[in-house]
Amino acid sequence: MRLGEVPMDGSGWWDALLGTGTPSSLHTTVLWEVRIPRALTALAAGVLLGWLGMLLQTWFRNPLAGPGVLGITSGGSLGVALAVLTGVTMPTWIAASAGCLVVLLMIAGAAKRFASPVTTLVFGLMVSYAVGSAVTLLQASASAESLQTFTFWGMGTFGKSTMWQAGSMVALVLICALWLVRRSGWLDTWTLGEDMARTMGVPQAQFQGELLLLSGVVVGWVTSLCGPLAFLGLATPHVHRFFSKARSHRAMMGGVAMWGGILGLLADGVVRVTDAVASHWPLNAVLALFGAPVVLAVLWKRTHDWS
Amino acid sequence: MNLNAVNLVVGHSRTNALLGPLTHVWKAGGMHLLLGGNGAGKSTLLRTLANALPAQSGDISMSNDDQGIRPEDRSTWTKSIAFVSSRPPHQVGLTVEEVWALSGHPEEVRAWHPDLMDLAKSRLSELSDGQAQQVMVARAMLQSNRWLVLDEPTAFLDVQAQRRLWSMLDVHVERGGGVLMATHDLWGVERWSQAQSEATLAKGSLALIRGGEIHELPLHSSKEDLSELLATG
Repeated sequence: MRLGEVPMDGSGWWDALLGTGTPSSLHTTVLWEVRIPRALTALAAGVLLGWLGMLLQTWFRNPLAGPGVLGITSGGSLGVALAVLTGVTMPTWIAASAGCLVVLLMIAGAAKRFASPVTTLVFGLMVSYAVGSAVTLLQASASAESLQTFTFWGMGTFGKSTMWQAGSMVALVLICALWLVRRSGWLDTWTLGEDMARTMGVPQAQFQGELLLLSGVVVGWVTSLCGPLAFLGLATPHVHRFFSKARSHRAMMGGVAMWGGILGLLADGVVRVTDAVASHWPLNAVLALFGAPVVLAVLWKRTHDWS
Repeated sequence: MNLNAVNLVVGHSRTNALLGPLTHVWKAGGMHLLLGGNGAGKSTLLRTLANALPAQSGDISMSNDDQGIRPEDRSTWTKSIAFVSSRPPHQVGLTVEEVWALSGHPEEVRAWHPDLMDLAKSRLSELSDGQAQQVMVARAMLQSNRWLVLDEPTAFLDVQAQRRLWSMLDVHVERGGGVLMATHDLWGVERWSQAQSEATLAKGSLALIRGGEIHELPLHSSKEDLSELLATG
C-alpha cells in the first residue's frame, strides 16, 4: 500500500488511512482512490476466480477446467471487443457476461456429448481459438484509439477500478459465498457423478442453471473490470489441494478463497514492483509465470483425488 | 412398499426405446434379481426406476395399502429408492464419512456393517473397487430404507468381495427393505436360490429380460439351467 509513484512513509500512510493527524490530501486521495480499490480488486478477483475454478472443476469433473481453458474468458473478451471496438454503447460488464454465458452454454451442451473430459477441454480450447480470431478480425477494422484501449485491457490489471467497482467485487464475493454454503451438499454429491447426483435428489436442471448464471456473471464482471485474467481460476484450487487435505466444498471454500486472495495480491505486488522500477510487466504475463508451472505440476503428479 | 411399473417404456430417447412397454410389480421386501444379456435394457430400466433417467412413457410408482409415492415428488422418492452403479465413482476426494453424510448419519452404518467403519476416514479414491462398492451400498442404505436398486454391483469385484456384497444386501432385506438387482453372477444367483427354497416365506423373485419383455423364472433355478437359458439367444 505504501509502494508506488507517490511515496508514503509509515506515519503518512496511517494518517491517510485513519484520517488522524494532518494527512496530506495527496496521500489521502492516492490511498483511498487508487491503492485501496486496487488491493480490494486484486483480493476479490483472486477469491472469485479461485472459487470459479473450483466450481468448474467440479461441474465438469475435470481437474484442468478453468474459466480460461474452457474458453469462457475469451467469450467475455469477445463481448468486450464488440462493445469497445465497434462503439456499441453498452456497459462492458453486460457485454462480457453475455459473452461468457454464450460460451458456457456451448460447453455445457457439448460436455453431454463427449464421454471423455479431455474432449471437453479440447472443445473449450477450439472455442477459445475461434473466438480469439473473431476478436482479431474486429481489431483489424477498429480505430487506433479504441484498439489501444482494448489492447491494454487485454493485458489485465487490477489498477483500473474505482472504489465503487472494488466494492461491487466484494459484494459479489459475499453472494458467491452464500451460494457456496447453500449448495455445498449438491456440489459434493455432484463429484460422485451425474447419475448418482440425480438418484440422490439433486435437481440437475436447477443446479446447472444456477452454476451457469453464477459463472457467467462472475467471469463477466471480473473480466470487464480486470481484463481476461489467465490461470488464476485454474491454478488456485490446486494450490489449496497441495497444502490441504480438505475436499468437501464447504471445507475447501475457505482455503481456496485464501489462496486466491494471496495469489491475486502477490501477482499485483509483482506488477507494482516492476512498475516502480519502470519495466511495467503486464498482469497476465505475471499470472502465466505463476500459473503455468502449477498446471504442469498437476499433470506431472496425476493425483487421483483432485476433486 | 411395492415398486410398480405400468406400461413403462425406457430408453435414451423416444425414438430409441430399449425396453417395454412393460408392466410389473416388485413386491415390498425381499431380493429381486434380474438376468439378461448385454444390451437387453436392464441398466436403463434400473436407472429409470431410480430417477437417473426419465421414463420415455408409462408410469412408475410405489404403493402399499395406504399410500402411494411418485417420482415427481423428488424428495420422498429419493428417500425411498437408492441406486448403486456397477462401478464405484472414480476420482472422488471426499472421505467415506463425507460421502455417507450426504445421505444420512454415518454412525448408522456401524449397526449394519461394523467393519466398514474402519474406512470412515479414508478417501473414496484410496479404496479398492471392492471396498468402494461396499461403501456405496452402505450409502444407499442410508438414503433409503425401502428400495435399493443395483446395476451389476459385483461385475468388477473378485469372488471374496462379491460374497461380501451379497451378504451386505441380506442385512438390508432383514431390516425390511427390498433389493432389485441386475446381475451376471450366476454363482451368486444359485446360492440365493437355494436360500430361497429353505426360507419358509420367500419374498424374492427371479426374472429374465429378453426381447423387450420381462419373464418370470422359477425361484429354484440352478446355475446350469440359467446359463443354458442365457446362452440360447
